[in-house]
Amino acid sequence: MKQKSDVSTARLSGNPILINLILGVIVLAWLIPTFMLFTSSIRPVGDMLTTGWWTSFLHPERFTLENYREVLASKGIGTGFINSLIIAIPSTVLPIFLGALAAYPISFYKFPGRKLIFIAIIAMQIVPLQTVLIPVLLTLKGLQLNGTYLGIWLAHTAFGLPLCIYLFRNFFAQLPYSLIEAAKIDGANNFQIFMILITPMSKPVFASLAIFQFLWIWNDLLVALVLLGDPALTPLTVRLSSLLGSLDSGWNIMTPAAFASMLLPLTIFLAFQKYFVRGILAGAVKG
Amino acid sequence: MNIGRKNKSNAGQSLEKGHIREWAVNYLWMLPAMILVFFFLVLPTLQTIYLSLHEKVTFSESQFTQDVLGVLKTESGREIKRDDLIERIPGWRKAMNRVAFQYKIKIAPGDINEEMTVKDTAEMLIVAKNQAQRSEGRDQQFAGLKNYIQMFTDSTMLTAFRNNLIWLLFFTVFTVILGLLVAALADRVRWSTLAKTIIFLPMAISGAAAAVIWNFMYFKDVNTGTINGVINAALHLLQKIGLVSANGFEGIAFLGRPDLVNLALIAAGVWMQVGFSTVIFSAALKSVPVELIEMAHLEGAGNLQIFFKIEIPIIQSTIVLVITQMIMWVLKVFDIIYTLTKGGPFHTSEVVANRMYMTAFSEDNFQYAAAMAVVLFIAVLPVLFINIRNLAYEESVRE
Repeated sequence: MKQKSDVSTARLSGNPILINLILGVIVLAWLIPTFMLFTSSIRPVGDMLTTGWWTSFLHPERFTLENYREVLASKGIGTGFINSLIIAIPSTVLPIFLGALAAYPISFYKFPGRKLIFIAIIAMQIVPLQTVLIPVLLTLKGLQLNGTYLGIWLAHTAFGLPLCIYLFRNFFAQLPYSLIEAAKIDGANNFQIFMILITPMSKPVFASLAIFQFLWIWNDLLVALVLLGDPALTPLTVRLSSLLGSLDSGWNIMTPAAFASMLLPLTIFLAFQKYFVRGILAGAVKG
Repeated sequence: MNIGRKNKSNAGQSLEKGHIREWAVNYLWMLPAMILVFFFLVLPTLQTIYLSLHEKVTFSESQFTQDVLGVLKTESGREIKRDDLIERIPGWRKAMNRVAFQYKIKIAPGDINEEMTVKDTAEMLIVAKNQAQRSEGRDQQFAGLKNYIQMFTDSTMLTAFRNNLIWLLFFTVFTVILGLLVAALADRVRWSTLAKTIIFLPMAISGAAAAVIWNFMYFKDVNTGTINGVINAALHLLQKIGLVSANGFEGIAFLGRPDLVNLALIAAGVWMQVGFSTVIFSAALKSVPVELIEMAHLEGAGNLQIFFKIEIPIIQSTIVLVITQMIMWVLKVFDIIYTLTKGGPFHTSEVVANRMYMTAFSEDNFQYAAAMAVVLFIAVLPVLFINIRNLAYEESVRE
């Protein structure tokens, strides 16, 4: 802690007013769009389309939750929220679990093909989703899984696996190998070592990956558009997108719906920012 | 299992059988992941390349109808009209069987009933033919590089390529410069955590929600559109000082003007992604040794000098990394464009990813779309090779 404050004093130089001012303007500009959406979402729709959101603070008594009530009443958005959850939760849990399993032998044991498999994983991390989506759709159609949750879970799991395996492997490889040797000598089998020794030590990676994977899938539009044909199953992102595309875009529905769709990711993000940042620094980028 | 990295020399000949069992167990742990990655990533990549070298066989429906009429005419020996009832035509059964055989369409005896006209019958057979082709995967034929050649003569695709380049340039420059600026400034204020959190925030938002936000931000009306409102207020201010002559500002339709739509979309993209570069630059700047900065201060170097002459050169490799990631993001940019403009107005904001989606799913041409996907894949290949090379280097260091 002491050292940290030293660092900041060493760097705190130059014109502090100017620095604070420039940063303040940028931060304000970055905050306004989200703030605008929230403010607009609690204004009567008549006001929303005739006066600027910035004028609403002159009449704070006009703020209303009516739009949110309407969103809750309109089935589309509520179902979209639930669909997003149904899609995102298994698609977060599965790749993390399977990725950790796969990374275990790659990190700790030598066997033929190990390097090749890891190189393939690295390569697959880069492949744009666009490159695989059409054949994936055709495969799922062949299995009659297109337009089903199972199909999109499998697809999201596969798309998330390369990153999961990569991050787990990088983390596992730093763990002291002597621990595993000691556990072996004590007679532990691999499954026990994995469950009792490795998993608890790897909590930070699990946390980072869970946040990333969840946010990506919650925010995904493309995969859902392509693989979920049935409109009854579509997540919030697809619904928002088609609301905005439709001619009679009702802003009284759209603003609260968009804000509501952001609430969960923003909460997760704010609560676990540390892991989010760690994940980015460890190389978490979506393919 | 064999105890890995450390003692690889204990492979005695008697252990050979045990080894194979251990290897098999290793593969068993990886099996679920390998199956999924193979069937959803590796194989589809190859399939996309295969698809891209084919073209859709467009089954000519008018030609088919002509053929039906022709065969019916020869069988019955009289002129046939489209709205004649088919069962009234002598020899119709033989004629239809001949057409079906020629076009390889399976028809069951009950498929054609007495209510149907020649037109109905032809339409029914066309539907059957299309379905059969699709399910048997016979609706395509080898076309070599035709799709790729078409791409570079298709004016909408050329716009998409141009726009991806515009994105590449402006988006990358803005995210890198703003990210550096925010990281450097935040390093020097007491509220850096708050500042960075607010800059990161849009990263957690979906492209679709961001599109709703930016659609609203870009409203043309100066009374409701935030950006136009700000411009309007600024103009009023300048007018008061006397710098601009008075004329009513009517607002700019950012998303409706071909000359501005790309920059407007890029601004929204930058808003979403600057957090990423800020995170990375912030960590990199923290790793610059304090002693270096202190020393420079003692020698009388100014803040800007320290930033450009010491900090930037030290974090050079990080800047390259961020640029690479931003380029990868740009190549795949889709959500925000699809939701905000769908590539419009008049295809002026198209990008390859949006064109690919539209070609595949609204124009129903998977083969052409696959070629676009392959172009995206080729564009990321250099990054793929760099990553593999870095990995090989890390591995050689590790062992």
